[in-house]
Amino acid sequence: MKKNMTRSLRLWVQNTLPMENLLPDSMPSYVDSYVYLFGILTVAALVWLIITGTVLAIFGPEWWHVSPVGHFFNSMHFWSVQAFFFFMVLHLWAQFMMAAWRGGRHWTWIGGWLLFLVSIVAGLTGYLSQNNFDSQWIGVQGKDAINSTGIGGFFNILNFGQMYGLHIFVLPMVIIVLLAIHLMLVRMHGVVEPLPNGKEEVDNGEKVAEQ
Amino acid sequence: MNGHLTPPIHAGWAWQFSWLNLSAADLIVVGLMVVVFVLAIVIPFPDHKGGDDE
Amino acid sequence: MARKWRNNNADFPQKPYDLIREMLVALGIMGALVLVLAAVFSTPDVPALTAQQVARQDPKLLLQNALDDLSGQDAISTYGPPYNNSGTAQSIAGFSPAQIAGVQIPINSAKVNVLDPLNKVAKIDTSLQSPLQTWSKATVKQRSAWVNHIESALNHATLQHGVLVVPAASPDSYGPLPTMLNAYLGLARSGLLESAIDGGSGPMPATNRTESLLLLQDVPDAQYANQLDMSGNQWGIIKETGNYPGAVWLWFYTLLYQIPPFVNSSSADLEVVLTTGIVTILLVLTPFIPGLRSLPKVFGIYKLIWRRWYRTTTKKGRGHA
Repeated sequence: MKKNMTRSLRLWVQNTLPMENLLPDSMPSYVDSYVYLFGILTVAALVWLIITGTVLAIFGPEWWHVSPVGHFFNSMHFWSVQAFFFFMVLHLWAQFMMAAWRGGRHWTWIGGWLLFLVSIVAGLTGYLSQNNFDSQWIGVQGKDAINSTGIGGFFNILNFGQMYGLHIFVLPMVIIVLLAIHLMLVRMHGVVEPLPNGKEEVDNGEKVAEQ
Repeated sequence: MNGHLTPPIHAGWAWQFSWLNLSAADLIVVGLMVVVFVLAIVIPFPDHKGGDDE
Repeated sequence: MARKWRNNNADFPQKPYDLIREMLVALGIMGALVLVLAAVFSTPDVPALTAQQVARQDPKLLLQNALDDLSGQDAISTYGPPYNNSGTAQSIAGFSPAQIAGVQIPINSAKVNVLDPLNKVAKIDTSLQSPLQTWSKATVKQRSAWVNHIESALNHATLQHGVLVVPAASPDSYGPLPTMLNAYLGLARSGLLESAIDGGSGPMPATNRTESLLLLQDVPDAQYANQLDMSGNQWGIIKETGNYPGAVWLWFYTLLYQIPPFVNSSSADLEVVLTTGIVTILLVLTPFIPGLRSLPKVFGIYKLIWRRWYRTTTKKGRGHA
């Protein structure tokens, strides 16, 4: 009998991520701290990055140097970047302090790190897309590190067109895909349960969750 | 032949201690991160006890 | 497929929560924050350093730069891969990824940064054709003799009405260089030098500025950056121009450049990148590394984060499962 792929996918989604887990209207009561907001604030900063970046992309890379309105959108983009990394790093600190990789959540942790690393490259390509001394200097300074790894010939940070294309399309897309996976993993596993308040070992296994 | 090139702006104030050279703006950001992290832990999260009927 | 995914959140006492509302509130707060920061602080936009600016503020620096390019003494001519094979690629114990990748962006500084632009000018200013021919027909030995002579005379040279005047010498000791350098200075002063370098491929826009960016990459850019507190030993890569926060998240990577053993190494870039990579991989794999994954338990910050939960559960006994 031929397997129906569509049905298999539907059942898999229904099993792995039922709607009440994807869009929850209640939380375990231990979710009781402002540190839980760092993640959503990072996502909010990303949304503003995409909105302001879209405006900057529509009018082209020269616009913000000559138009006060463009410069203002550039400023919003710049401060969104600062907020994005600010809250992403706080989110990382908080998740580390809660050992949030427990209970089979290691892929969420690894995915979060991938997001951080791709974001760093996205930030670098953004700096290089500015067309001012900052981008000129970061280009000529940064090329030595990239060249030393042997990828400088393919990822040429002095090539404005390449960096701009990566910055406004490829890397945002990768971030959005990774973020979707990260959020789905969070919703699949639920929020990590508190560490045992006794002398139990911290480990990667499930035993901490069971009492 | 040295130092004739003049940028249109000056460098911001930077803190220099041996090999550590950080700009004031960067120090402020790092300081704020620590402060926000501590406050987020210390300040009690608003309690939902008593129910939310939405 | 038989097993239904078990999310044990439902095993704990619940409190009401509205995911969508939280997202919208976060968006609003972040939008307001970014709007206020942008309105109050704006952003820096220091124009790129141009050959035109160097020609105006320090013409002899630009000429020295051109002479280095012509004689192959510039930093790019001795760089190695990916630009050429004439330098030593960075390596660790004989392992050199740059060497393995090879020359991917061949650059000949003399041709790309000086001679090609001048050949373009010669099509307009025909009096430049014969000096350029003299240069191209000369032997390498003859060329370096001309460069050496004019380099030592450059300190005593003057600029009169924008024209370089070198101290008189025996007729042939500078060769065609005074004419070439003056044309080069004029081209730079006109603001067309970068375009002459990059725009070699017809009407296509020069979206790849690798070659013109390499023109000033050594001394001129570094001098400029140094005044903005952005040179490498000033933690430049994480800094923004002026009074603005930069890429603070690169602190660990930049820190390594400032300390031994990296600070004095000739392969510092490769060593720093690899060290950062290894540390990053360890952090990514934290969940699987005994000791590292127990650090949260040692720090005990979690006791503060979940303090109310621990208080209620010790009162009631374990409140779940």
